[in-house]
Amino acid sequence: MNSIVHRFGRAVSSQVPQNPQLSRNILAAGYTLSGWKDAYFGGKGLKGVYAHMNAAISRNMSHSFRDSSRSAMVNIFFPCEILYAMDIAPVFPEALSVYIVNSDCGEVFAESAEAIGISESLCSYHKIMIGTARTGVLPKPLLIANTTLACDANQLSFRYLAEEYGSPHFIVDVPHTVNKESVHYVASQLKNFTVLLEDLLHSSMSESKLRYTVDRANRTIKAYREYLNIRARTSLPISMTGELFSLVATHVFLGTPESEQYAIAIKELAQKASPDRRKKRILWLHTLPNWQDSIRVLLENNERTEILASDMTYDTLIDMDPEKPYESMAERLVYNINNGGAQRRIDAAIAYAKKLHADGVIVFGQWGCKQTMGMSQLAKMALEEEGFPTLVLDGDGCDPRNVADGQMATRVNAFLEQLEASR
Amino acid sequence: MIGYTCKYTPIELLYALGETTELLNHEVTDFEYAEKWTHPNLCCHAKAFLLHSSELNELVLINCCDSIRRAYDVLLAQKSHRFLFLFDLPHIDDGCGQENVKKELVRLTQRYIEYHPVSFDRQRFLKACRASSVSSFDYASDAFFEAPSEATSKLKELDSAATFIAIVGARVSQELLSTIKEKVPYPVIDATCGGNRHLGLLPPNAENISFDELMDWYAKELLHFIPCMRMANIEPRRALWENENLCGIIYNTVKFCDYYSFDYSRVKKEASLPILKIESDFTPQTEGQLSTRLEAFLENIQARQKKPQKPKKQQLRHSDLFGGIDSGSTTTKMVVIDRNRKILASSLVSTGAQTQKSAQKALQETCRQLDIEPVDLASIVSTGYGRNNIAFATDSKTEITCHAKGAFFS
Repeated sequence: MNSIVHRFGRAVSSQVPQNPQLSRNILAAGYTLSGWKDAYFGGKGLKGVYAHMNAAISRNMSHSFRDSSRSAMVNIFFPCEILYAMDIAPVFPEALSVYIVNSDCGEVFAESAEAIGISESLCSYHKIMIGTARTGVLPKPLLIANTTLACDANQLSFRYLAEEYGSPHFIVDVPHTVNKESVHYVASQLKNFTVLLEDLLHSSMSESKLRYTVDRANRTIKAYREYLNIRARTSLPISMTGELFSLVATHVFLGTPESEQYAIAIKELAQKASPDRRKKRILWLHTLPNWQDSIRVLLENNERTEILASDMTYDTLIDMDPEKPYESMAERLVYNINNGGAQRRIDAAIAYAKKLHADGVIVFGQWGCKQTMGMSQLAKMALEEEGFPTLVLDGDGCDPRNVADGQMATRVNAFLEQLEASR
Repeated sequence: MIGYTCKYTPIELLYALGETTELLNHEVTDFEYAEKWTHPNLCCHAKAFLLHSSELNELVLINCCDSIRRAYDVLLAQKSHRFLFLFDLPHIDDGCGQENVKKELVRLTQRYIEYHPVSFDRQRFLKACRASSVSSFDYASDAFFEAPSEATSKLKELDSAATFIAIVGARVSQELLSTIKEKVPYPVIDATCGGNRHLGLLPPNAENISFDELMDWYAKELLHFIPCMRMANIEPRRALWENENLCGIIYNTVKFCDYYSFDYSRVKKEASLPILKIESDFTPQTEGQLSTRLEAFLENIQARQKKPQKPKKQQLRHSDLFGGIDSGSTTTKMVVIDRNRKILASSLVSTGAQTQKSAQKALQETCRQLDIEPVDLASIVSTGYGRNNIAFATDSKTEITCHAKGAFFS
């Protein structure tokens, strides 16, 4: 982390206790500037593609801090096509916490959440988001909505935030059972969510706009699926931050022009790329600690290794039908590989490891994520049985306090040596 | 025998299918087995459950949290159980939620009958439901279903009691529950997510309605339990701390379970009762520490009730001088104060091997400073780890209460 970022983080943190409004303004100004810089001076190639996505997310972040009257706080799996069709911007913990930790001011917010007795073992993405709300830095959104898919923290954090802000709260209950009946159940709840939005905004949903947004989401999914097909035979110097961009593009930003442009651009870059047989190819499971220089040095922009994909980006790349928008969004939730048993996610990991010609797999045990940590040993056993060496790596995508940095770097290094020895 | 872990498990239905059930809620000495299959940071209850699950061949689990879902995944991969069923409980308790619960009840019945050809025994079901409609807090068991009249009389005894203590929050192990019940001189109810199940009255035509209609009623009743924290609507949880006979709450959280830290913050804010917060991890507790904390909690309850404290011994000799003695592991300290809280004398002696002797020495020293006899002290209150061994003390308080009093001493 460079000294400018460090000073920026210190300026934000120092104002949080006494003057949260000033912290908010500094953060909003910082993200506006970052977005503006990347939108106009982002560079070319993969760097330029990432810069455009960073510009879009920075704009979203800046908007969350400046004007929250048309923003909704949602979880990463929430189908935001409905929001975009009603001109509402999403705020979500994964981006918020990652941007805050990369601005070197996460600690003050995590500690604020822990001060009210919230368990230290809660997912750090959610903890930091709660901290930003509690301190008064993140303003009250129009509403709060979450799905129950995959993660217990959603139920807890979003309910707490709704109480803290006094905002309307909507829960989409996603059954564990993966079948058509569950899709109907979820679709009917999404329709009810639209009714709530219409009531809050005193305006009607434009069905044609929703269909248009879902159609764009569908084109994005197709482009990203094609990108992954091409990646099977090419090499691309993707970064950990880049994979997080892909996660945003295939989830919360799905349905936006920026997301579609991103998927198309990265696909075109992959088409032009050639294979690099020197590099060890790593499939990553779960989110990525892009703040952690010691791990980035080992896994990105070097001649030794490359990350192929994070399994969160391909968790639900299924076709959407614009004529059935609610059912399509519901299908993406119910058939998500994180729903149902762990075996679905493990089977997908094996399938993608084969498809992308992975040399090894890293299962990232994100602090507080019981779903991923709980399946980590099952995944390791199954992947190794299929011939993919697997490392279970404990860490934290946004809270350095929970990380043994040196130990993590040593373990990744040893894993890479193991892969290289098996050349 | 079918093992289960969650209060939402339809144990009345399993009883109607001729099965006996057991709540797998026991401690373990270590988590080596569970961590080999999962991860050290998984909820300690789920890890303990994984070990105990091997004691039974048949299990019915609820997808109540991430940790139990993963425990189920492990058991599924191990393929060592003859009957393993995961009940998909919705988070929402509206009509659609009830419909989904009913479907799950029917699916469980069909799966069980395929596994073990039996038929649904309506009379057993109704008997179990009647029993569960009289018990609010103690988890239902087969013995309980068999002898509901005994349970009813036990419950009446509880209801008529003026006050009781509730254990709220994440589930407590059977061992910890027993320890607390032994040490607390009030009725203790288990209102955690492991206990606290109560069915409403059966419909009047329960003998005659179809199985489908009976399951409609049962699904609705299951979803009307006082909710655990995984449910969307947690407002009915207020009933747990708004009972007028409740005199104190023991709030339990389990290590690596995130649900109840949120609830605890809320209970602390809303309940105006003495609350003892404990964190358990499904391994044997350190009894000494728990005892001290329970004593302090009980002192707090007694202080609120403003019951006159009975001195250990009637030694009221002088109305102006009061002694306090702290029998610590290294030193024994004593002070004498007057009615204006002014410290008149103090002493500090090494505790040594015999707490009685050092306490006596401290007493003699303070009396010497004031030129009085021990009998001139109106009362002497003891504290510290040796507080219960000081024969001349007229009362004792835990060091926790004394620290609290000391912080506000002026």
